[in-house]
Amino acid sequence: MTGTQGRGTEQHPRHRLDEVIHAPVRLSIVAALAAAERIHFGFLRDLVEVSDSLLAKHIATLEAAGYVQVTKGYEGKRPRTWFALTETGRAAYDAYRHALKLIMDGDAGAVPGSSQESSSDR
Amino acid sequence: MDPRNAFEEIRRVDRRVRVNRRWYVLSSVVMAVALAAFYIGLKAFPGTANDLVLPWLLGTVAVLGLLGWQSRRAVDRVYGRWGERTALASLGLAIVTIVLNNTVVPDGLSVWTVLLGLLPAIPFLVLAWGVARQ
Repeated sequence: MTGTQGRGTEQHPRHRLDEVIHAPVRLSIVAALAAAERIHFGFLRDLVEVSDSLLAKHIATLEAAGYVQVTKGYEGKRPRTWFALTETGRAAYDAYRHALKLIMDGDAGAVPGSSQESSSDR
Repeated sequence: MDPRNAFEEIRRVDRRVRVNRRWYVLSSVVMAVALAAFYIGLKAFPGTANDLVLPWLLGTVAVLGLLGWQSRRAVDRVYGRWGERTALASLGLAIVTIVLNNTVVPDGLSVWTVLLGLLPAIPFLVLAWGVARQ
């Protein structure tokens, strides 16, 4: 998408939005997982308001990208599935939020790590 | 997806997960209160407290079980990282309390009885504060 465009256009923060995260359901999943150590399947499904199969599909996409870790286990005799964000996933989410903030601020020229970025993150 | 909507969604989800944290704060506070009441009660009122140990134990286990069942859906980050270490720290301080209560502090209600009784509760109060202030 960005390959044929000029250098100035590629600098725009929207190009830094991670396509894996920048989908409504996956954004909700990642945002929820970022706020917790791990989340139970049922809780996440109710939180994101999707069906079991759709949640499983999006989790598979996130797992394939290395953003989510799936843990299967038992509580008594009941099978349970837990999801957690990996370090890669957390870093990608932080970068995604940073890019969103830049877009919202209309600050297309800011370079991550600069003082301008620090002040906009507060 | 519009960036503004994306931020709104992030805030909504974050709020929902934060609400779940109250169970962790509550269970840590219950644990702290139960531990303090146990050690202070045993030392300050030895005769009466011995009869209340079993009801206290059953009540505490029931309350913690209920809170644990509520909170298990989303494990808090601070609790997940510090929960086990808090329990170990509390256990270590409980041993200090027991040793000092049996060797130095006389029976009956005193400042030392209260201070030593509070000792095992401190790690859980710190944990509750840590989870709440995120």
